[in-house]
Amino acid sequence: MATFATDKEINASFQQDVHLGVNSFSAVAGIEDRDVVPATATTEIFGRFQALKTLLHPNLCEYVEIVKGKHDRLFVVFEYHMNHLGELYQSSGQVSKLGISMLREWAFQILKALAYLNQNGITHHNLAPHNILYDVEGRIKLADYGLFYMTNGGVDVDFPIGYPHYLPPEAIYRQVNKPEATGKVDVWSLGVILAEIFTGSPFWEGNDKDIEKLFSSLWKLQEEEEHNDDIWEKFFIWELGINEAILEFLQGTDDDDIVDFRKFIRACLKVDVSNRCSPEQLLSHPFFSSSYGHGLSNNYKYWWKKPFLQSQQIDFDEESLFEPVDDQPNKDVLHRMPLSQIYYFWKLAGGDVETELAKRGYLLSTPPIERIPRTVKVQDGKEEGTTEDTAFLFSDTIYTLSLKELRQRLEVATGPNREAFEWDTDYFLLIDEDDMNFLVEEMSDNDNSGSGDEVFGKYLFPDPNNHKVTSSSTNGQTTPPTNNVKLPLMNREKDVGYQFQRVALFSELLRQYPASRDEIIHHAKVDIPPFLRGKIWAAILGVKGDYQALYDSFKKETETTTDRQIDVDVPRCHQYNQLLSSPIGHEKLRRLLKCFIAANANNKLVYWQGLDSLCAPFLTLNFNDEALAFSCLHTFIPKFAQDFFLSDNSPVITEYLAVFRHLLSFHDPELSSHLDRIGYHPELYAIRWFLTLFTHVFPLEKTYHLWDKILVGPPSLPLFIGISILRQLREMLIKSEFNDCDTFSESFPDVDIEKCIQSALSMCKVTPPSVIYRVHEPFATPDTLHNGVPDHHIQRWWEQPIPINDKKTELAPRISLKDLVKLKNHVLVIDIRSEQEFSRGHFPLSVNMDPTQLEQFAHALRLENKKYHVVLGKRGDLGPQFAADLVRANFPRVAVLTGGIDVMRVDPEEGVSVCACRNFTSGSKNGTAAYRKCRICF
Amino acid sequence: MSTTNNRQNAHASGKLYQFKLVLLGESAVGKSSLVLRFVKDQFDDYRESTIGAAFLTQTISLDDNTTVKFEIWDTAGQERYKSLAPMYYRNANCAVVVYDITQASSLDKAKSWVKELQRQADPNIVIALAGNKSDLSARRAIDSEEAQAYATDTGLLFFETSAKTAVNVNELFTSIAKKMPLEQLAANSRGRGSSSKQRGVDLTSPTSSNNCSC
Ligand SMILES: Nc1nc2c(ncn2[C@@H]2O[C@H](COP(=O)(O)OP(=O)(O)OP(=O)(O)O)[C@@H](O)[C@H]2O)c(=O)[nH]1
Ligand SMILES: [Mg+2]
Ligand SMILES: [Zn+2]
Repeated sequence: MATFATDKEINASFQQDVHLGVNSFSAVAGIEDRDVVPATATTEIFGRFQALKTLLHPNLCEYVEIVKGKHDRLFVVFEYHMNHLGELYQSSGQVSKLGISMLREWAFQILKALAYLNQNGITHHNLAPHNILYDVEGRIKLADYGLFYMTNGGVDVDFPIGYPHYLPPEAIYRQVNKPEATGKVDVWSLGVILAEIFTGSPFWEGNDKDIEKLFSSLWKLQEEEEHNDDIWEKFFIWELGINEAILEFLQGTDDDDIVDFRKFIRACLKVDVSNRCSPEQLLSHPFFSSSYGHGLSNNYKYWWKKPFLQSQQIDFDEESLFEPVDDQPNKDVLHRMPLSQIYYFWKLAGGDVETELAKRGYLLSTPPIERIPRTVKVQDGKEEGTTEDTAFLFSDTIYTLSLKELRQRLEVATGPNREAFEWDTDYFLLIDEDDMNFLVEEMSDNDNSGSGDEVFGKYLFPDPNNHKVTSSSTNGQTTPPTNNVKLPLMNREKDVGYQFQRVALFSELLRQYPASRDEIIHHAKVDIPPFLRGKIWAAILGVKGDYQALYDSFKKETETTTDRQIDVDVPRCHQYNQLLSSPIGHEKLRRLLKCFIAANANNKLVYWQGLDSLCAPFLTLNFNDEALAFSCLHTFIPKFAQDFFLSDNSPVITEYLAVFRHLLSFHDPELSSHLDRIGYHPELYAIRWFLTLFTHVFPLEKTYHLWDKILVGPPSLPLFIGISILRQLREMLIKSEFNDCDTFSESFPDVDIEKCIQSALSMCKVTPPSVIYRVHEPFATPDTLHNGVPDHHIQRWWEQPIPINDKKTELAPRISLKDLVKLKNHVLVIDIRSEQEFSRGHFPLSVNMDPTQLEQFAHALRLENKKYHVVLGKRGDLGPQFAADLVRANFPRVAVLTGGIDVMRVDPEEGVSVCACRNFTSGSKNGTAAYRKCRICF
Repeated sequence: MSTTNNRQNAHASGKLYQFKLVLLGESAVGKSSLVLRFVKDQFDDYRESTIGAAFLTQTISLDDNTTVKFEIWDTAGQERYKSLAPMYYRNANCAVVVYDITQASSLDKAKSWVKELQRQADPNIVIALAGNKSDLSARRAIDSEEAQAYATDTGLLFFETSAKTAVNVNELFTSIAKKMPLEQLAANSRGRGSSSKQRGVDLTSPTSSNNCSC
């Protein structure tokens, strides 16, 4: 059900010959008198803009992106078409010959678009002939309709929005800061524009700059309206500076041909707002009645195709004019591509709107604009009027972006000699011939694992030897041919050719989701194209079904006791991020958190500080789809932060940190024992690491990359990432005393995320699962620890979970017999029982020594040159302490065998049996017999 | 008053004392902001909330031959993190309990922290009460006099501070340093140096002393 292709992607196939346009403006400067930390107007606009990206209507130009440039200047990128109704003004007189049917068609499409905007709570307020565009098929496309909305009705900017000649009286005399404007404003504008086109003369006569006259006329209209029913019939109307041609048309007597058209225009031009129809209502005006209706929407096709004229408002990119017109649009690499994607690739190909506009002299020019002197604003009885020139704040000049470079780059990338990238699926699999790989082991163990949903319980990794994937749902979209180009992740992300291929692959797979989930996971292990990250994550997490309904089903408005905490945390959460720092971002994050609490009331999960950070990546990636963000969070937490948000989470967190400490000893005994000696325990720095899966530690850009791997990795990966972080800072840490360790509290030191992930994965590969076993692990079964114990079996002493306080104090982890056997040639088993016990039965090839004599035998042990060191003892002996001694003596990969010798006797593992040889050799030359070694192999 | 990070100098010119200081108080009253102001002389409108705790150090010179080094534990304010607090205050020498002058409830919370410290922490602990965000006096909800009276009754140092404008922040930490029984502690901290067990925080069963009834 949940395919993640949006309407826009489907719609994209209908777009032809589209351009990307840019225009730019600045928000008002900071508002001083707020004592709450102010969201700047720029941030507010940034947040409000996001919703515009979701609008989709055949008669609207799509909004693509908003970019914040230097000095907080905003650049808006949107769909643009070369032709607009303003061009008709140049050929005035001819226009009425277009015929009423043409005007009817335009009126109808414009109203459709306005009605749609209205439904979405948006007023255009900026309608003018030059922003009514039409595409190559003659279809109307409104542009610039979001300015009034994104600036909160103009409050956030210092320039007036709207062209006075097209605005109704109430728009001019509306109280500032009270944007009660509705779609009826736009209806007036439409009336004016159509009347102009029909008559071929401007509505208002005289100089464009004579704003004063215009304003007094509008004022007069407003005043007279109160005393007159039908103002257009009145005599005074001739004194207002409205063109005679217009008035003659409006007052004209019935003429069969245009009677409905005149009525329609008069309906648009009702001065009293309450009598004026909304766009929606006007759609059923007799002008559009069925007698004409059958012709609508088709008969105008290609009618108005003509060589375009460069108008004053548009600054064409010279180059783009000479771009060859593609006769076979299907050959265009950009064909069928959503605009947002085109823009994304354009940036990857080196595009930057700010530099682009600067190159074309934009920043030098201060284009003349018509403007309303910001009218009287009454505040505390004081009258304030702005008279200074605000032209530099806004320019309605539109620049088109040249896609030439991008086309060339993509043609190379898709052509016959395209670069082939090695999709390094080996990332998880690089096998050190000389070492273990538990991930691969696990995979072959689970060959017959069931549905994809189990993927998190097991390590479902691709087969290293062939690139076949588990599902066969795609048609030929398997791993492409490879050569030996291996790029670092960061380069791959910036390579337009590579991203083009990745986006194509994943778009296809997402269309086939959920059937393609396994395949998505398979390819995601290589890397995830940032453009599709939000959806790919959702697919990996297995979000299915009607997630919107799920989200809607939870009460998000109910007051709770955590509200205060959420309210103080939300405005502190990743505020460097444009989306999260906007007021809309705050609202959304708050709603998501409240929804999560409501949804998990039965699971006893509560709000802990930190949940906000954990939520942040999902929200930023799905800013316009809160429901999807919620579903991602909702499936993520049980998988990766199981029980972390219980109101009493201390057993879970304590165990997690204990395992983390063991793991550090296992992989870096020197660092572990150093930190232990200076008393710098994980409790002091690592709680926020794991509670927030590093989102409270790294900026979002780094978190995305980390999570790309966490999502497709084994559940223990975060632990290893923690170790990698410590090891990257090793040099500094090892020299530090306790007091010098304040690094972790501060803005995080530079950690190379890619290296960090790589080293985490390679440690993960060589770590036996039982070493990182947690009672509170998601999907934990005691089997991980004690393989093959039948269910009915009475519990042995070693099957009791280790008391948490012991687990916490022990420096080294425990290992299961099953894992020990797999270590075969790589392990040195150190038996610390007495000589007698040892000779009665021992682990093959193990050594036997007195645990108090480590100093004496350390050298001999090192000569064995093994990768793993496992301590074998018996119940209640010094095993854990001795293991800690080994860690302090810097032995790598030390663990204690769970159940000691007893487990070997009672639950023998396949492939190993107790050896009872007496054929020991003494490892000690100086006559003491305290060190023995079994020579019998497995 | 001058602050310095230069340990060498501090040593050369006289005695160096080390104190462990813990910050407690309701969430968002400005604990982390106070520390940031004190340690780095910065203020950040968008400071992230604290999870678990954060550790920082800062050294100040009281006079030519007395230097004090604070090991500062900045704790998380959310009530849920309360069970971690004993871990940080258990062997603290001094504490700053912070409230927000614009939030009436935050003083009650501060009072309950003071009670808990008096009951559970080192009996010689020096406690200061800080009414933060004094720059927002327009929205003041707690009278200085009321807080001052409470502090006097309870034997606490008292300051109204602003992490944003830096008012009284250094004064706060300096007065704490001055109120520490330096000579007595000097003896202790000499002994401490050798035993690493004494350093940092006390991790032994953080919940065991969490039986206070407030
Ligand atoms: N105006 C003003 N704002 C302050 C002051 N101190 C802190 N703030 C603001 O108050 C908010 C909370 O400050 P923090 O320092 O994060 O508060 P905290 O006590 O550490 O909060 P937790 O970590 O959640 O316990 C932030 O937005 C700060 O910018 C101050 O002196 N004046
Ligand atoms: Mg804090
Ligand atoms: Zn043997």
